[in-house]
Amino acid sequence: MTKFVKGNEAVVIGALYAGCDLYFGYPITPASEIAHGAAKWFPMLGRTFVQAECETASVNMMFGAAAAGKLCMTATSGPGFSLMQEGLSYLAGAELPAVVVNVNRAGPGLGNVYPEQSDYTPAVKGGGHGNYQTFTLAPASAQEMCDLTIKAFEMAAKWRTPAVVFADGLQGQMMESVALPAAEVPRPDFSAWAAQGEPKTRANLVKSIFLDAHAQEVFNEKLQAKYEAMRADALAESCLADDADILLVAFGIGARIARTTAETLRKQGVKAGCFRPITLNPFPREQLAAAAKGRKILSLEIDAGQFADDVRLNLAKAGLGAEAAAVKMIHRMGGEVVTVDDAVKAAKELL
Amino acid sequence: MATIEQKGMYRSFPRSGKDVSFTHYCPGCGHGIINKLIAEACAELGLQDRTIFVDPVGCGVFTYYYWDAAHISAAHGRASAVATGTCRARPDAVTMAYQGDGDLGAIGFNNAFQAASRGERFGCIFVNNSLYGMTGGQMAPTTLDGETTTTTPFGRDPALTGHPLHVCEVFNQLAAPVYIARVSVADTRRILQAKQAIRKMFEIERDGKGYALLEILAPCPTNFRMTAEKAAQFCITEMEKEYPLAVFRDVTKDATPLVPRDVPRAADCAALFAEKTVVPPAADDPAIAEKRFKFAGYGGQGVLSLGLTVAEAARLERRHTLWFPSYGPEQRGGSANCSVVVSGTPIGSPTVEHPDVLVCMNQPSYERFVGDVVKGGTVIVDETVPLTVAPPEGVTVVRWPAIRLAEEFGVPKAANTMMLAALKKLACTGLSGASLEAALVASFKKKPELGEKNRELLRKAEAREG
Amino acid sequence: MVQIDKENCKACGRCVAACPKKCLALGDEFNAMGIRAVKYTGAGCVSCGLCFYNCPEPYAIKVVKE
Repeated sequence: MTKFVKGNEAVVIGALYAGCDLYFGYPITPASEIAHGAAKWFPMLGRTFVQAECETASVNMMFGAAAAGKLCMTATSGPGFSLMQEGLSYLAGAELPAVVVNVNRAGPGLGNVYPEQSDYTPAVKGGGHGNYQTFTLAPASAQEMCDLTIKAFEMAAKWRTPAVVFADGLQGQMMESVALPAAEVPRPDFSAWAAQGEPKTRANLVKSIFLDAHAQEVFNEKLQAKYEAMRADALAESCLADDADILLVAFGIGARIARTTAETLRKQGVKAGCFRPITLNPFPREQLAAAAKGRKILSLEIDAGQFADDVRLNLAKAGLGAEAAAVKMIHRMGGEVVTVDDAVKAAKELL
Repeated sequence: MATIEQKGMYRSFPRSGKDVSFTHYCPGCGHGIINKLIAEACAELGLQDRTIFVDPVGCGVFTYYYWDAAHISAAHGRASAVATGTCRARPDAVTMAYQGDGDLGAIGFNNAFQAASRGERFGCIFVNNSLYGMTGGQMAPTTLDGETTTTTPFGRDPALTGHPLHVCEVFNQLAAPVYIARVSVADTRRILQAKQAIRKMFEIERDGKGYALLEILAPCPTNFRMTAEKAAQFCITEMEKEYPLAVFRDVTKDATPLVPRDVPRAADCAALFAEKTVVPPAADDPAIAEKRFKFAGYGGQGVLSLGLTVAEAARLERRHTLWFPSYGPEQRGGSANCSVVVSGTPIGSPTVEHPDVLVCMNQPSYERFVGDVVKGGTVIVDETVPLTVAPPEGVTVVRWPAIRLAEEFGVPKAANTMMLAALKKLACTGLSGASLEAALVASFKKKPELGEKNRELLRKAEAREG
Repeated sequence: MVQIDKENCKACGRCVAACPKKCLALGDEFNAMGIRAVKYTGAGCVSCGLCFYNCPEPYAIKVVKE
């Protein structure tokens, strides 16, 4: 059974199937329909919707609900995502599962409501204080806005970490058919560590403070080990890449443009393929290296090059220094989107 | 052989890193007295299993060393937001936030104030010692006029810092709180009064009566630079001049907690998202090439819903399809347009740079998009639009009386349905007339009679010659 | 009867000031932290417990009523 819905609405459908019990959020364009959908559908299922007074409140309300052992989420866009960075650091520091959906819009500052991918660095590297990361997924369709939201809750619970669904304004507003998930995910049991107000959790303490420096370092090492282990859950997808001379690397809406670009190039006799990270953190380094080895790489993105730098970093870390140094980029900013025509031209210049 | 001794606290405090049984509080600290009263009330009311403390950042940060109940340590200033999440997640728990006058009075004021305004089901015990203790005696919003602190070395000067903040009085303007009071722990009589008020805070949350705020004046000998006894006197003689002890509000006796109004309910997700007409997923058919549409006009001319109808028709024929609007400020009554892509295979780029079919309801959209139409493409323009720009080579332009027909048929808002008739008549969508008609009627699922009316208008317009 | 655990006393004097019978005073013994803990003078305690409630420490004072 499919529904024709906006990407924003698909996020709420996914969250409800994933067992999310509470939504805390502050309205912001272009994520509005997530709040509208949640305001209607959460109460209809007997779950909780709270409109917060600001994004700092939203992320800390999530801290309180997650610390009490419930799955919860918020959705926002760049300006709100900035206000949530402190809260994300605390969620990571207290090892709490929670999902933040960021519908990236053009910045910096007020910017406008059109799509960008410019929140890449805080979303992938952690924009708050301390050595922490979030598990970050990048949908490229309304179906993935649903499925990767479910995945985000799964990863948040599995790794006891905040997870970010990194979308953009275009995907939020775009309507596509979404096949409904087969079943709802059963609620996880967090009573081993959560403060749930019942006898068996009376001794539980959720905190991120370690007064003793040694204890704080031991905890940091534990976090870093978790992030290393998380790399096993990296996800990526490539198409037309097996015999490609040039590889277009892109994620989210950029990956949709890259695929049409590759198909257009193929029709013009140019062997082009695509590589798409589905998780931005953990970055699919091994998969990228396998697809990129010996090929010319063009990153296609809607920011100032933050993603391209991460492609170079991961290629270098995978021992492909030459490929890393030769990575070229085509990008747009401000809410303008890379056109297939320009991408085709840029790809040909590499050959 | 009764004894008077501490209840509700761990017997020793290993979480402090040293297995001692004295606290981290300075000699004579008001927090210490308050901590004991809180633990005692929680234990005496038998609430330790149900209680979730939300601890602040400030001198109260280490309360999780002491109180034998569950704890959540919040970021500085965020305890009231955290407590909101906790009490919403666990409505049967007794959620008790503990905050200082920097934590609540300054950085966390809006979170606390808004939580109180929402009537969140948690208690907020707010310790006012007129300055920042933990971070070294800085001014807080509650610092007294003329009071010396490490950030008011010459005494607080209202000309530069404003006046002391009366939190209870400000919160008393809100409709939702059921109990607001200010007490002190400066001497025996006041401590015993505070003991009753703290017990009441737990009773209120035990019974789910609503939001309660208790402000407690507390001495801070270290930062007052006084002995414990003089600091306690300062609380009485100086602080109480600014912060009179009082019960500002107590409606707990007859406060019946608000119950949310009923809303339509669904048993589960499948029931919630089920649709009457089941549309199967798209079926790949590489033989069907991708076709790109652009619908443009003024906001309110129905161009967005026209695009949606074409997308729905494509779904009925199990094609891959997407729709997206130019969203943003220009949407409000300004120019509006939407893009639709229909294909036999999964769609790549959603942006329609070169439409196969362009529908324009006004001149600005015609001028803006006609140059992008692909060779062999079709442009349908309302007849009121002057063709100020020549179309590219190989592009056919059809002028169609959409607006006039809609008025003639007596339904001016149906101009977009008239355009749908043109699309059907010209057979340029690659979709069957039946699918387009079915999609049109389905788009009025909330008002079926309007759907039938539009079906009739569609057929009338299509039957027209010319 | 008041019982002082001198290891948990920080000699702030709140109990001394609060005792209606004035039967508490700073002692002369130092505890492990180097603080001269409060001491019961040995007479006059009526087990009213006000010292306990004035004391910021949970385990410095206990009052046992005969």
